[in-house]
Amino acid sequence: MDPDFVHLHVHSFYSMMHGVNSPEALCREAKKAGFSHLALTDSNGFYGLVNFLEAASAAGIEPIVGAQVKTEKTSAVLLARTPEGYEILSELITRRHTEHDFSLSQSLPERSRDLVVLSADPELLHGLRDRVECFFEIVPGPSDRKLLRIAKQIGVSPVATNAVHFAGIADYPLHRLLRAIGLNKTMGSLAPQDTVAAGQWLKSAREMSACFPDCPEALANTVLIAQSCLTPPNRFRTVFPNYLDKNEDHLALLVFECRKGIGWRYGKTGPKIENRLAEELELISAKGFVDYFLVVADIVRRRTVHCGRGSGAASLVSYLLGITHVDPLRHNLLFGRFLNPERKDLPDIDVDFPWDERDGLFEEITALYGSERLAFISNHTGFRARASVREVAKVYGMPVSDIKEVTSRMSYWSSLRIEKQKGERGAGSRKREAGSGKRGGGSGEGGEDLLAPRFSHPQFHNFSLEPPWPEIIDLASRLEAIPRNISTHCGGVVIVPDRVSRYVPVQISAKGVRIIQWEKDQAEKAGLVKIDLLGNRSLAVIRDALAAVRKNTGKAIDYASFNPVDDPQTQKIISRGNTMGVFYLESPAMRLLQAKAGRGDFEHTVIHSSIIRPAANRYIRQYLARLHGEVWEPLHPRLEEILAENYGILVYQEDVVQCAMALAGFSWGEADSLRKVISKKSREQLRDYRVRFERGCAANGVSAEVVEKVWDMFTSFAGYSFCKPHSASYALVSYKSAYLKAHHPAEFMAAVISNGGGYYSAFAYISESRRMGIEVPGPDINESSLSYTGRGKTMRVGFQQLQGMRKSGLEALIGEKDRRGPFSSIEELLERLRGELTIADALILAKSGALDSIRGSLNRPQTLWLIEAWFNRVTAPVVCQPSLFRPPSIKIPGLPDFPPGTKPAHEAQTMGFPLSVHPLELAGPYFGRLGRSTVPAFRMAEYIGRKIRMKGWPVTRKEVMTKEGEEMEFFTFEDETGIFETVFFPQPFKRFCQDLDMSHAYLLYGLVESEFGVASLSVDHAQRVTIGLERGRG
Amino acid sequence: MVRNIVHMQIRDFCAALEELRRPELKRGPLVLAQAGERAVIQGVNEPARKEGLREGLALSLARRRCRRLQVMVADFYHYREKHLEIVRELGLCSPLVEGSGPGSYFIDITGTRRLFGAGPDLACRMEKELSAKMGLRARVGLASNKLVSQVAAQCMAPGDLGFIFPGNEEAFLSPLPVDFLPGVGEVTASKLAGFNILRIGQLASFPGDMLAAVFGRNGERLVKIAKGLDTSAVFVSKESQRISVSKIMERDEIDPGRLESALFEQVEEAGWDLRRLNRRPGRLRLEIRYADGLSVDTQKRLPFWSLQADRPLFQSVLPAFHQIFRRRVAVRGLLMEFSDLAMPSAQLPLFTWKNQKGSEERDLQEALDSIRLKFGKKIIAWARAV
Repeated sequence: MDPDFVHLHVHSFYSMMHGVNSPEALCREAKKAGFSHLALTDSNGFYGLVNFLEAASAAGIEPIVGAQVKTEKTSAVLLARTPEGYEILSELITRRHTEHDFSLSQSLPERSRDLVVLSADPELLHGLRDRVECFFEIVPGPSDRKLLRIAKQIGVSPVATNAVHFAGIADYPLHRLLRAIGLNKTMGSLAPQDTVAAGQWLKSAREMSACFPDCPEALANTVLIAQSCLTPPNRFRTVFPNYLDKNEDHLALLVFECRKGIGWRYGKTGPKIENRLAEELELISAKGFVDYFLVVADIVRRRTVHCGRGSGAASLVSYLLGITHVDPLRHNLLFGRFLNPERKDLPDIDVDFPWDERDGLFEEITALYGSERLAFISNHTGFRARASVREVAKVYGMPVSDIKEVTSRMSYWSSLRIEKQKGERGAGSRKREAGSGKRGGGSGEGGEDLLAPRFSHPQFHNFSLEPPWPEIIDLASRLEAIPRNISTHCGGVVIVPDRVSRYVPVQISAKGVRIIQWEKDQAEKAGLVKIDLLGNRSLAVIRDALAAVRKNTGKAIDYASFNPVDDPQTQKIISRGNTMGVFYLESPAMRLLQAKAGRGDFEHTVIHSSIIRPAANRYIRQYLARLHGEVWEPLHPRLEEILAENYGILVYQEDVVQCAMALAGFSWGEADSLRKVISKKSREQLRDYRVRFERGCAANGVSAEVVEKVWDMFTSFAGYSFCKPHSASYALVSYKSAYLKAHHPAEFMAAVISNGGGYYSAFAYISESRRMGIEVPGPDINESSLSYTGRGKTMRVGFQQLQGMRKSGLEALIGEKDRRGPFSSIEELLERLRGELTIADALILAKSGALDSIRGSLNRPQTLWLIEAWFNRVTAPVVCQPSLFRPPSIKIPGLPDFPPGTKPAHEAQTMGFPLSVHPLELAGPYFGRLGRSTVPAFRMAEYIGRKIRMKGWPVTRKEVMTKEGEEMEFFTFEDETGIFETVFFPQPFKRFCQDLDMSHAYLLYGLVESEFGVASLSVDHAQRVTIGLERGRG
Repeated sequence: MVRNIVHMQIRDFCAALEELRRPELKRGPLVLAQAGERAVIQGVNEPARKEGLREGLALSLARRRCRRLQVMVADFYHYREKHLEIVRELGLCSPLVEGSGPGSYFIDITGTRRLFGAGPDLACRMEKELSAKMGLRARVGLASNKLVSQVAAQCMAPGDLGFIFPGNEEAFLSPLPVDFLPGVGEVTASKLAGFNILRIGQLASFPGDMLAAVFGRNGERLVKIAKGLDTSAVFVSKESQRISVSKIMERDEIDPGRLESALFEQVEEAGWDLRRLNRRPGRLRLEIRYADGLSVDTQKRLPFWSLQADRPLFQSVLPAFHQIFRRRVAVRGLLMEFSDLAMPSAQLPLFTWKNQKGSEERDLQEALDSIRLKFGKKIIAWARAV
């Protein structure tokens, strides 16, 4: 079929906050409407270009590449005719985003046959018609006749478009909703010019020709233009970074660097090393990765503390260049996982740096390579479930508190579509029940209400969603997956040999850095090789702790060669799960796994790092049983060798590849594709692979039962698991931090809290420090610094813990102390920092106890009085000439000191938690009679199999889903004596989830259970206890 | 001359009135709120207070916290009527009666000894009569000024009298917590608590200038009230005639079109009342209550020519509405109040052939009203309000 019209002006949802449909949906609809060509012309960008090209080829549509370039004054649709046209357009869009005085007519080349311009701006067309081919764009509407007349007058051929913003008329309300959200308006207050007309959907050729009965030329021109636009190749060529030092033979340079690395890493070479190196270098050179390695090595060398991870850690070359620190030969890491002759996609090396050094590093490499050659990958930020509900509710004018009531009940990962389906199913069954008379005719639940989408999560139990909430949730579910804006990816960088803007438009992010318009998947598909430089808080913890150790003890530890894998004390704390604060091993699930396994050696820790993903992996129990001596048979003799080190269980990503190769005879490439499909969880593709896998297994004589079991393991966790090199890289960092925790606990815990971002709150880490025998004194004006400081058996709270204190006040305080020494009295402090500290800052300092050492004979109320009076005097208006003499000192009345309970309350108010006593001590009287019969945490293990009562202060929580799809929760509590784990199974969870939060004490009742020697409490009943400090908790 | 000021306080006045109407409500927790699931509590009774429910709490939340909660729709017209009735009742004992709020009254009985007997007797009698006539129990305070009598009432149980002998004010106040003092709000109380000043006596012991170091000019006032010194007079409340129409939306509304129709409906109602009273409004007060409990209002002086017809009246209300409807939050209710009512007086036309400005509008309105008078108020309406 050859239609007589082609849509040349089409917006997908990548025209952020304007368009509604994905490129896939547009291609599908276009095919359905009988079109053979379709253009995608998103506003000022190629944001979804790669997806569009893919979708077009899947739908059998010839794609036309273009963009609508909009400025404040004018707008035009530009279509690329040739690859050169694409490059010109990409540069043009880049200039549109990066130049303040961008002018469309001035930015277009002098004479070009590579582009076509469609616009309804006569002035623009007049200026451009001699330089590029121009058409007058006519969109059907009230003024189309007028536009046709103008086109004739200025002598530019007309072309019909529908400036499509949505696939069907039904999507118009969604467009209006997006506009209302984007403009911060309500549906009612949207002006006509805020939205496009309701008719701007993907009309069929016949519908379009009906709109132009008197101008067939405008329709025919669309076909002419479409035919002249070259379909871009579906596959972009790979673009590698280029090492700067262009004059040398780069392979020789790489070999030289590796040789240097052998001397550094191994001392002397051997046949094993030589063979592996030769194999790797050959493949690296054949695949064109020589420069890539040199560039990454060059970046990594600029910072001492870093951690190369991902599949790149399997490479000996990375190890020798200092990119990674795990010896691939010693730990048997296969290079094939990183580079393989059959691998079609681009592997990448991820390198972690301390979080606070990353920005400086980026500046350094941007200066080195030039801003033209380097840009960041972007993120396409979409509406997540909570955000979409919040935004739609705002459009409906719902009060913020009501919105919070609903969104705070939604679990973090909840998908509205799924909830909606579940809700509808639930509503259906409720309706049936009501019909059969089981529920007495429904109290207040009208027929319409029954069909409304509902949330099935127990948090919504007894919480009715009154109108217009059902409407809001329905609309919000349609917003999911629509991108909202683009932001900077956390670490992906592209470095190209010439200019990034040749390949993809570049724009400036909110942070002020240059980002490309594609997110990582599209960038990868388009052949841009990225380098991931990510921020990692634990590396900063290690760096700071090493610095503190050097300062306090004079002991210098070199990070790169620091390898505490065989240190017995480190192994001991790891084997016991005493790893709060330790990188990657600190989550409750991981600590429990470590404790249950009771192994502290490196190899097992590597297994644990991967098998823990996801935490509810049901093979963990099997693994532990086998570890503790259960007899097991390999699933199949062919798998015996592959899975021997993992006790016959699939643990790493490459296990999937190897199993598929061994059982079904897959080639490496095929097996690797299977691994990828499993991680992406595409159902259709998975089904297809399953058939091929079964067929392959059958050919090799593998029984159906084994196939079933192996497939089950594939799908149960391979989507989350790590590859072994990555796991090993992480485990090494874990060992380094565990070493510091074992040998220099105060310095380490101080660094953990100071760097923030750990799994637990500062309060939980302080409790852990106390359990480790470290004394934790509060902040002190002369002793504390900004961050926590550890030395010997003491960890001093830093000023960073003071909530609500202004940053500039803190900086002034520390600067003054460094310049002119410590403070000796409160008045001196206030005088020296006059104008820098506000009264609120000073009161926070006093209430946190930081001024206790300089307040002399004054008590706390008198201190507060002095501060208030001092500031009142300073800010009082001067009525007469200022006095020549010093003002008289402030008279302070005799005030009684606070009762003992006030100090912890002040600490909670200023630091977020009481420091001088445990909150449970304060809660003592509130527990009542039952509080006396509780069992302390350290004696919990003596009560296995019995029901007990315990007091608990929440530490952390993790909600998971059971196999049956019911919610349950793992909750970690602590009391004055220790930390303990509890489980709320679905029934108790349903009853108590609305009562559980992180800011109350709880009285728990339940059964103590033990698994592999580790006790936990299965909670039957939880009672919230209010102690009056709730508001202060951080 | 020593003054004698009685303070009568009826706690949870609105809820108490509802309990009088329906005594069966007395036993359980009761709250007053507007209709609709998402309303906010406007009044509570004692059992509800014990359950932790307070004014301003969302009704849905209150229902979740307290399963056996009884909810009544607040009837402010009734409460206001009762309040005025009490003021009138108390007026029999003294011309100086101040109804400072619903359920809170100051009566100056200075110099009435010869007429009604001793102050405490009179105060007791007033309470007894209130209880007998209206069934409401008040806490009564009698002292030489408004401040102390108010605190005295606060310390008593309902039906009891607290009499503070003149000269004993400071001694009486001294052991009480500082937040018992009227005029010491949350902020001042928490600041005082910061200095560990918790009792009124502690506060009273300060020399005024010392407190000024931390409280500024407020310091002197604090010391004064802590010593029980208050010279303020009892203000007689006066009511001026006004027409007010309030509307609670069926569901929270944000669409400007629908809000304008609701507003027009209110204008129609107010206009009808104005025309029946033959008054023109001099001042408009418009209040928007948003769904999150926040309300905004504006006042406007209306032009002098008589605005009695619906459409011109609406045209003068609409700008006020647009002026305050600025937030992106749905509206729960609208309150329109016309005051400064006066006789419409327009100069008669000198030349009969010249049509007077707005006469068509007035004729149309009159025609509409005559239909309404004949067939009922709801029989005809402007399309805009439908």
